[in-house]
Amino acid sequence: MPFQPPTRPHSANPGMNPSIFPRTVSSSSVYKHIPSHQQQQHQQNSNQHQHQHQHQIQQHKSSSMTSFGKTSTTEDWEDAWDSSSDKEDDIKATNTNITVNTNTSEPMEISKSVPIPVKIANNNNNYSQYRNGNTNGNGEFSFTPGSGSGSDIISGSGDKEVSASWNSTSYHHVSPPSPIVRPSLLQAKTYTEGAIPPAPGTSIPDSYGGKSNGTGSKLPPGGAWEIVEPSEIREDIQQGDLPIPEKVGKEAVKDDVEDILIDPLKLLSNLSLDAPQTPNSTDPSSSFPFLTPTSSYPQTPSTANSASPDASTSYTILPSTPRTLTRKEGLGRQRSVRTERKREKFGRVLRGRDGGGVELGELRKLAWNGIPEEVRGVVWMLLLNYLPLPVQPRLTTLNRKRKEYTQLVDQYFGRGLASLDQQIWHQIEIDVPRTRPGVALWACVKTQRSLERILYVWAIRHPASGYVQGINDLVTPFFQVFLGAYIDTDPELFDIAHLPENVLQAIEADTFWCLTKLLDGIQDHYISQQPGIQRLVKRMGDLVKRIDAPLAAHFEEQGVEFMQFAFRWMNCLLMREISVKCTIRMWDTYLAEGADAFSQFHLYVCSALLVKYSERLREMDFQEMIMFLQCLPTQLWTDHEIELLLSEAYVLKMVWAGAENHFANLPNGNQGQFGMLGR
Amino acid sequence: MASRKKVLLKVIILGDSGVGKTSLMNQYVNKRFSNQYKATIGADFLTRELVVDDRVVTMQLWDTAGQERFQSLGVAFYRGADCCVLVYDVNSSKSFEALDGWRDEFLVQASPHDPENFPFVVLGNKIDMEESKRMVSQKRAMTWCQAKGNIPYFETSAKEAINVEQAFQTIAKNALAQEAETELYNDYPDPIRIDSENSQNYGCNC
Repeated sequence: MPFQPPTRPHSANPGMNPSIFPRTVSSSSVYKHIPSHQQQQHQQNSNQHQHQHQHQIQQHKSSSMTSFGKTSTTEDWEDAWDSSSDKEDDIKATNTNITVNTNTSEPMEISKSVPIPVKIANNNNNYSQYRNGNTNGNGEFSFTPGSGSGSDIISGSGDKEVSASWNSTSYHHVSPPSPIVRPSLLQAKTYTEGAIPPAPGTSIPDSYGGKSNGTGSKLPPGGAWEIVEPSEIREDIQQGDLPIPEKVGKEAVKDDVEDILIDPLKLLSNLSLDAPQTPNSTDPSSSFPFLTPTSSYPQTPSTANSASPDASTSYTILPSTPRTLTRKEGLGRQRSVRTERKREKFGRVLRGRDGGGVELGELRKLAWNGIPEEVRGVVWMLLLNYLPLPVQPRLTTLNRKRKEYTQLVDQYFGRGLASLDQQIWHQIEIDVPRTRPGVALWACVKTQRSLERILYVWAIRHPASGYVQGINDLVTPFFQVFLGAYIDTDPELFDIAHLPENVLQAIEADTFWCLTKLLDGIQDHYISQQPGIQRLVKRMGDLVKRIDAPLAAHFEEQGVEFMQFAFRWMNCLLMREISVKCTIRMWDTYLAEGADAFSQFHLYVCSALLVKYSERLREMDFQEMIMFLQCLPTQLWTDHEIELLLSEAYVLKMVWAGAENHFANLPNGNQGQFGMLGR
Repeated sequence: MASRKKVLLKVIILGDSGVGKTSLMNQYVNKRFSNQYKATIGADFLTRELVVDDRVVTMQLWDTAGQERFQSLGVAFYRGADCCVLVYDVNSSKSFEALDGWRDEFLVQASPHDPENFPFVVLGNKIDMEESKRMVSQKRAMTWCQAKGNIPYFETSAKEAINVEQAFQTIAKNALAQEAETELYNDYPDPIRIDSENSQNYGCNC
């Protein structure tokens, strides 16, 4: 039976959602369920508009993405470090009693050595208890006990002052791991089914109902099938919510953890097509209730027509790997084939050509649309230029940087907590327990100690900014992604005490250096007066005035200043607005965009986010607006909404980047006009 | 009458990081306590309606970030405030000693009409902690408040909801008095703008 390749299905056949068709089908039962889905058709259509828009944008994007291509050489890489704000010379190479353990033959044991209580105030029991977590393991990160004069060093107020600061810490002390960590399967399911999400913020589909069709009409055909499909996104969402027993302890640690430690690219082996499938991918009907016939994407008559009745059984776009599948299997297979193809591509790029290292341009192009979880850590490291692209210096560099970090920790913490910069340390101590409160991973004493060290070492090495609240949030995606490489469970549920000590140290070091790389690009966000943020918020105001004049006018009328809500959007990179899972997906794209994405591209993301709620905001008064903007209905967002937002931001960037003059000196009388992409 | 229109009271809460500003505000508005608040970035905003002197007023509360680095933001949040609440932790002298700085900073950035008489209220929070941990005595705090022009002083616990309601009632009352005073200043008719575009047509064109 001849098949009809669905060329440009998204724009040519707006009623058709390609994701609902198996790639290869020989069963004729595909359209059997039509009648039972009629009632869902409306909803389906609006979804299609949405996806269509997204595809067009992404297609547009990929056509202009080649400019990213740039091969990085070893020299580039070394330069990158030299130009960074970290002075490697600082490190005293002689001080090497702290080393990264590279012994691969046996994992190190945890909690073997006796905890050394650390005291800085003689009479403060709480304190030494609190510190015990530091001193477990091999003692490599242990803080030496205070010299006995610690309490004198801290401040003129002596012991009492110390205990006061600890009081305030314990006041905020997080409770033991609580079960509120993640939305339940049920919630996630309800949401991804495409029904109206529980929270507001559902205007996304509506706002795309035709407004942006013009955008993609001139795009070249082809390539659309490469793009992330709803089904795939949904799978990703669901994967984290499998009802399989949650592994939170030692059993979650991967067997080859030592190999990954030495060479993160070992993770590539997980990308192979032959890798064991997760239980869900073999039986979609049980793990993916929304894919079962009664609730899956309905196949509408219009799609049937456009696909031609004769060809209804033969959507084959992978002629080279024909498979005969039933409908049920087909859905599962289609999804996994898509996912596998994406993984294969990453595998190919990461393995490099002829051993010549990773081609950055290609990697960016792929990463823009999301990085498979299995290799996300290593891809982030490569994109951030932490891990060198060429194969040759990779392992030695990684080893060296980890060692350096260990030395830094020793350098700053080696003389006890009392010798720390008390102003910085005080603030870090207050903020660490309230970083992701209620999440098991971040309630672990060991995680908190790691976070303290990362923040302190960064702050002390960047005196112009020091530690600024919000930077603690920025650590968490790195830490969770890098931890995820070593375990087979959701990092947020994992009890880090079960991780070998040397692995934790490597994660901590990698997190530190990658955080440093990220913050290098946005240092003026955090220095005195925070000029970087002030500038971005101002530009955001100007841009919104241009793209959505009525909204900007409404803001002015109600007396809402952008600084009153957008400051936090910039300071925490929207991490207070969206979940960490979504943040991680967002950072895939940011890191692919390049070094300045966390300021420049972020500006467009924030603007796109605001404009998304334009209609609702314009019906609110000052009070309602501020409340709404301070608590956006984005907390339950999934990767799907994030990807849509990123696409919208990309369009804004394409139009407005480098066109500052067009909105910098906007005349006041311009407010009635509709701007580009505006209303 | 202007005085019968909807009354909005803008209240700013200031103080060092970790003294319990967010907790106080949430205890007052939402009647609950949590030890899981994240650090405030920029400022959070909540409102509550209440009755003061037989008038229904809406209190708009701005809970600001405690870290010094965020002080440059002040002007976006402080402007037009009717009352400023200074919070410290009775178990931390450092947070008490910082009150001077917070007060000055507020007066500079908010630039009220009559700085001398601008209403402040001081709250010493976390009195639920054991007495032995207390670092700032009631006497010391009250002495400071008197020296600054008889600032009303309350000792509170956001955790156990001690004195929170009373403190905010006083805050509202003083804010309302301030609001009435501000209206006097604003009671002039709109000034005639001589710099507007219209004026250019009046010039001589010869």
